Amino acid sequence: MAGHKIKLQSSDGDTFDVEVEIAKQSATIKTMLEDLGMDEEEDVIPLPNVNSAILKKVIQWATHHKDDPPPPEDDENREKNTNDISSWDQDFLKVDQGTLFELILAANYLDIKGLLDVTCKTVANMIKGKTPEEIRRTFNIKNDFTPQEEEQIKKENEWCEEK
Amino acid sequence: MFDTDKYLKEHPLLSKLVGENKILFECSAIAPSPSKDYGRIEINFDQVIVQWWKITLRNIEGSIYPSEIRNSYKDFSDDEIAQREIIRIFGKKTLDYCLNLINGNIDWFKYLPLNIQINIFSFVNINDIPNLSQVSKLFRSISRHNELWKILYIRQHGYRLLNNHFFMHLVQIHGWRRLFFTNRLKLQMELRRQALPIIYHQQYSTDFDNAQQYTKQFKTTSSTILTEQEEER
Repeated sequence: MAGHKIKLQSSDGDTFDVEVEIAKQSATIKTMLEDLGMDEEEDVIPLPNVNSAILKKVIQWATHHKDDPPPPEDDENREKNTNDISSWDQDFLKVDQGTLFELILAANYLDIKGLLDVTCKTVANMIKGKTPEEIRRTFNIKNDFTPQEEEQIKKENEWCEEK
Repeated sequence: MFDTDKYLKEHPLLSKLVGENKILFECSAIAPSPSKDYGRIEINFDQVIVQWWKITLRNIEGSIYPSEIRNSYKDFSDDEIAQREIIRIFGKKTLDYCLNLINGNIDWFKYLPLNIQINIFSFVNINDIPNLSQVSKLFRSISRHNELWKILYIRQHGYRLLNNHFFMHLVQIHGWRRLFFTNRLKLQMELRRQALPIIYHQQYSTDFDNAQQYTKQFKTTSSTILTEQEEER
């Protein structure tokens, strides 16, 4: 049934009409639809954890990626390369850190593997090739090691590198 | 000034993670020697609370009682006394962290569920991991997490050995991280050593012929495990 639509309701009460095929990229929604046997056009799926700003972004992402092949199930074949983020995704994820993490949590909650991976890769790219101090600065992380512990870890790592 | 309450209302999923107690940061410390002064900082959604207690043997009027400053974010950023006490007891880096925090740079990473933290770490390069382990205690524990190394192992070496009973036993003993770094020859030796007690046991419990059969069979499989894996590539 192409073009068949369902309604998604955000935490702040906005509803969005979304094609079933697009919404089903979320394994959570897919299970809901199958378990509850929802296929009436009038049915509204409430998503009490996702606000409309984030839901809008998730739908935008899912619409753009509706024709993608499903991601491989196993870790072995999963793309580990973080340089393969498409330019559309890169632009899409040019958001502040709070929004990025909110998107990660939404993707996790809605169980959209593709979106979760691309957002996690974006965060990984913010980490890669940086010194510990640069990583702390990027995410405002407090160094909670004592100077002795820090020295100890540095020594351990030197040993790793020689190996 | 940054409005944490409003921000968290706009980010319901993050706000859930921060939790009910509404505390963004809490920390206590004793000033560097020779001072023994005690200090505590708490940052909640709209206030910065700094407490300190000067510890001295001499009875100096006014300095022996604990002091406390409760500031709004705005007042704290202008409060030289509170900032000076933080630098004195906790150091400059802690003050910078606090100032970043009240300007909206909240360290969201520490609030993420572990499975997401591991997923993020699984996308960095192996040679970034030593750097990651130096960032903080949390980062160190993630970078050594068995589940992370399981993902890294499978990406590097494939699924092939996961069906091997002896290999999985080794995983239980040593963990994925150790096996990730074990070379193939040593692994093969370990796998054989794993199998020996079982073979030995069988020699005395069941009839000898069966045991011999088993030993022979195992020797061929264990030595071909790695070569077969090679051929598959």
